[in-house]
Amino acid sequence: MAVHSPMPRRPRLFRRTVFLTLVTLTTFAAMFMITSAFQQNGLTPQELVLLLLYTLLILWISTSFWTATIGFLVLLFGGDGQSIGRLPPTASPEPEATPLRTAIVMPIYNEDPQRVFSGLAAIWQSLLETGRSEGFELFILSDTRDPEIWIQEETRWYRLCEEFDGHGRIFYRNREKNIARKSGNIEEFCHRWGNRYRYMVVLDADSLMSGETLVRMVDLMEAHPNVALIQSPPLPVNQKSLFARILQFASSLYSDIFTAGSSYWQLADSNYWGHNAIIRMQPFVKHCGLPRLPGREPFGGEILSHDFVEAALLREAGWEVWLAYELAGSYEELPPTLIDYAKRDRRWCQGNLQHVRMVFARGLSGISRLHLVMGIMSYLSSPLWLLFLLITGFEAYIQSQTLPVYFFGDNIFPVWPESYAVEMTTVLLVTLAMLFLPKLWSLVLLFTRNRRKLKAFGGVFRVTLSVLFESVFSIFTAPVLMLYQSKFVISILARKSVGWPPQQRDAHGLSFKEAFLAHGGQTLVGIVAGALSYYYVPSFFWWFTPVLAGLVFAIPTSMISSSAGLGLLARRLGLFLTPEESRAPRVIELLHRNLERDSGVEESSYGKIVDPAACALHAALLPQRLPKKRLRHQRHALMYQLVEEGPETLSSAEKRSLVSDPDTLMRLHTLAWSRGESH
Amino acid sequence: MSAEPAAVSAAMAADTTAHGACETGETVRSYLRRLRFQDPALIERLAAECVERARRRVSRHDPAELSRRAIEEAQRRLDQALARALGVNAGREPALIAAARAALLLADAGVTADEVYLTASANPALASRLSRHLPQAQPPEAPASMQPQKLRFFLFKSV
Repeated sequence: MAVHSPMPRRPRLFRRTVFLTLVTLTTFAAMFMITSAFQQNGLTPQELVLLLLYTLLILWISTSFWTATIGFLVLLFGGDGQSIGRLPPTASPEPEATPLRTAIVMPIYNEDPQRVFSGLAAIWQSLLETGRSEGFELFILSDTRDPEIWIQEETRWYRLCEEFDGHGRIFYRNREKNIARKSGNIEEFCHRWGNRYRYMVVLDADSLMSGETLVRMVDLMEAHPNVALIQSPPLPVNQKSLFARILQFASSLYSDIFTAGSSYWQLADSNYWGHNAIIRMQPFVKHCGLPRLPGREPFGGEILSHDFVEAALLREAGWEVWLAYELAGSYEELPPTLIDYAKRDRRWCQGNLQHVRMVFARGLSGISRLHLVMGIMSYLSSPLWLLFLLITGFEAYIQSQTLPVYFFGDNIFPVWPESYAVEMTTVLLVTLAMLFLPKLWSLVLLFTRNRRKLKAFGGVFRVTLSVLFESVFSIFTAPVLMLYQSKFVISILARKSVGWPPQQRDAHGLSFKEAFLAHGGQTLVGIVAGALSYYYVPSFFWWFTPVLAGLVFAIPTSMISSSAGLGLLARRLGLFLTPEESRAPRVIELLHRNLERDSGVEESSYGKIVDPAACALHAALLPQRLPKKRLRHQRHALMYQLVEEGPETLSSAEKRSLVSDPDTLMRLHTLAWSRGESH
Repeated sequence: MSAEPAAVSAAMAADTTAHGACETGETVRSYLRRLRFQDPALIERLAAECVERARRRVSRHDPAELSRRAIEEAQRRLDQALARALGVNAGREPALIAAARAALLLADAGVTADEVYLTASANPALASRLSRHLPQAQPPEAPASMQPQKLRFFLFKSV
């Protein structure tokens, strides 16, 4: 049943008109300035391309700029009266068929079990402390393939149940086949238990949500029966490396204005970011079954970035999707190094570029297409910037080779070449202003609106210094990410798929070898581009230095920023401090306590089939069915191989096959003991 | 040819076998302790019985095979004791027995393997203490049909 959004049309229309007008006017103004500089002697082909590229890029920048500026104004004047948190409750058209029960689901895939279960324990305990936990159940949806991690997950799940007396409320399921990755994992959950729950809160492996936030989200869903999804804005926490702490600081300080601005103009047509969101089960089950796209990866196959598509399908079915910008208590973690960040970008890039096809889906509204295009542009903008820089360099070279002609025909008076340095400098300054002003807005907001928060960020001096350092750091890393993302886009367009590698989430310092292998090419590009521009177009070289510096110093930047020691030193100095670091919220405190407690636990028998307890639990959770004869023989052969040639000769999939059958598992367990491998 | 070398080799084999049985006995005792048996006398008796029974099944001298059989026997005895206490058939309910074993070994249910082993017949009180800790990985299913959406595209092939 498609429902009709009760959100009044007028504020939506007004807000979007204001927003789009501002974006369009800014783009036209920038285009006008750059065109006036170009039209000296008519447009050359390369100038035309530059104009086109600049238009696309400035459109992208001004979208972001005006979102932040509107968000700044919204927060400066006390918040948005039309946000989901402030709207009055609406009456339900008909009673809900499903019981008021919420599943907190966490899909995991070969993650560190200690971190996952410490986080889950913190969330569950925080929920218990609200006194309203009775309507919630916790579901660990494991797609883990690594057999050792699989068994560890089970043992930790059982201990979690024991710790909180959660038998019958905390569940664990490991999928036999991980079809369609994360979206397939959630879909299988919906297939099997979709009618058990009214809502599900989707978490990521590194998500943390406070009990109060979870309860508040359910209350909001109950109060607004037309809402299918509420996205909370997750803040990064728990970072140690310098790189991640800088990013964490930036996100903590700047994201408020972006989320408030997005919520202002998107209203009930917001987006889904894949985790830390609550979803109404019935519309999700009905409208969000994802098909396999025709053709092969990267554009065909399973839909990788399923979240945007699911939000679009919900919106098209008439349901509301909100971004609750004012919801606190929602957290996530960040990749610890520049290289890990780039690796994550690689996966997201493929998922977003796959949306090129979705933009052309029939029946989608303009705003759904806009969300998809914004996702695409967050990656496509990098090769566009690269192209822009290359063509600008080429144009500068052409200009430097052109000899000015002062006398035309019989005219005895010289015609002096016009200088358009003012126009070009204005274009550059406007672009830079749009990139850096949101940082200033956030600072102004912090200084004027929230003294307590200002203290939590380290005070006026430290937070200002942190913003300056963060800006310099982002100038250094932006060219590196530009080259990375350009490479990703090109390789994806060349139909090279990314696979599904698990994420590296722990802080780890990069060695010179790692950094050299990852950034050596970029450094070389920086040196060659610098030498060429210095030799052929010296005037351009100086303009180009911020980009060149980022590339030339990519290796030391990446290595130094990966250091957890420096990250913690900066914290002791009060730099890049966030309110969550200054005073950890209860759920984060619980996570730290759990991690600390767990680090002292004897891990030797965890995840090993030699442990009778882990083995018994694993056997109990395996499906009890007789395998086919052929499979039994295959497992026998694998077992002999394991015994005679050692476990290192088996692949992870083969080991998984061995521990997927209760009888084979017990034989292995017994064999390990009989061969004296019990210690 | 004298029979002496044969006697020597038989004596040596007996010695090695005794040594192997001793090692096996220690492995089984260690295993029983991991199965949460606590009473040393019971562990000693059970280990001896398991090794003895295993020895009868192993035709030639093979310490690893002897250990394997003895450990299997220890497992079988605990599983049968659990089945007895729960009032079920161990052969027909392998998942339940494995779950009970997991609860016994992992949970703080106040139940020891000794208590389970010494239970002669179905013991509702013990079964109830154990069943509160039985792993319940998944709730009853409440299926919902989630069909793939039909997507039609401009310029691209539809699904």
